[in-house]
Amino acid sequence: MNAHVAHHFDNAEQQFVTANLGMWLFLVTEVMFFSGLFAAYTIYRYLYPEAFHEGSRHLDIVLGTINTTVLLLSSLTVALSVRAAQLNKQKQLVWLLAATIALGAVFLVIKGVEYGHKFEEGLVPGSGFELRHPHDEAFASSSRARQVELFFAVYFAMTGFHALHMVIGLGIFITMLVLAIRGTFHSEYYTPVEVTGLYWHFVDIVWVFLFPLLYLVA
Amino acid sequence: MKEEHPSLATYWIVFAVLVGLLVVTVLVAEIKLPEDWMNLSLAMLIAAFKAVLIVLVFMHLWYRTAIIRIVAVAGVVWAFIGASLTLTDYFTRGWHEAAQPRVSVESVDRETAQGPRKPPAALEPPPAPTEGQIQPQR
Repeated sequence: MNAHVAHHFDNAEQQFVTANLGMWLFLVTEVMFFSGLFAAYTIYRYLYPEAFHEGSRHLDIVLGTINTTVLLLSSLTVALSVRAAQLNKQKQLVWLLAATIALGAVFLVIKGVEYGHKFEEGLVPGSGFELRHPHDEAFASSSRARQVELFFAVYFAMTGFHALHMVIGLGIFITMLVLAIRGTFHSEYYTPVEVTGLYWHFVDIVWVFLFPLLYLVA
Repeated sequence: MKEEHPSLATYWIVFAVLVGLLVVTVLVAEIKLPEDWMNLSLAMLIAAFKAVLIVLVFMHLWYRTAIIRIVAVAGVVWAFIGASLTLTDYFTRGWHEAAQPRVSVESVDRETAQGPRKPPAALEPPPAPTEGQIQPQR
């Protein structure tokens, strides 16, 4: 019996499958959580299609595309880090985990820059929201402006919760990095890397849907 | 832990396909398809395909036991059931008709500021018949 198998498991494989099942169950609850947000998005886009087109035009497609690529690349480094652990490549595992953390941080920095632009342009829902129209003085107080404000409420709720998941993921990956440096993981025991990876890929999938729904409406 | 794993080449191919589909998504959004829902459906179809690729290869669901696959599929199915029931409720409340009047939103704002609105088109008398048209028999 290996030292890393807890006493209530028959063997390492049973322990590995159980941990995987637990993570998948958690991800199902996450699907439920985000499906509520997606339902809210669907209802408001159905009600105010033009406002969603208008709101989407204020988002930066270039930064959004770069961020999507960064996230996809981080998913690759996660997948490769699991593989490195399976093959007992300790150094490679440490580097790939570090690369994942770096890519996640890049994503959050770019997201922060985008949020900063929205604050400067007065596109954050609330008392500071001010949508100007070049040819229409009354536009800022029209009901269309209120509907665009609703788009940005949905935008900040969805990307905000996504970014929160990224921050949590980064925290777990930093823990994984420390454990990997200490040499905790090897070909017979890499379950924490695997299940953390599952979480990270899920967050990536959420963004895969968010990007076209928010940035590519117009 | 003796199950098979995806090869290094598989990971890189999946990544390349994901980035390729991202480029396709951005380019397709630039093309104006005849109807708005076509652009949306296409984007969601590509996103769903990307999600399936990530789930099967990156998340190793292809290589997992039946119980984990059932949990994963059940999660998506129940999310669809929950979302469908929610949306059937909201879509049958008549909010869409209230939110999308025949006249544009801006003109409603101005008209309500100026005075009473015109009666809706359905209440107006039908246009006088023009010559040459077939008249209904009385």
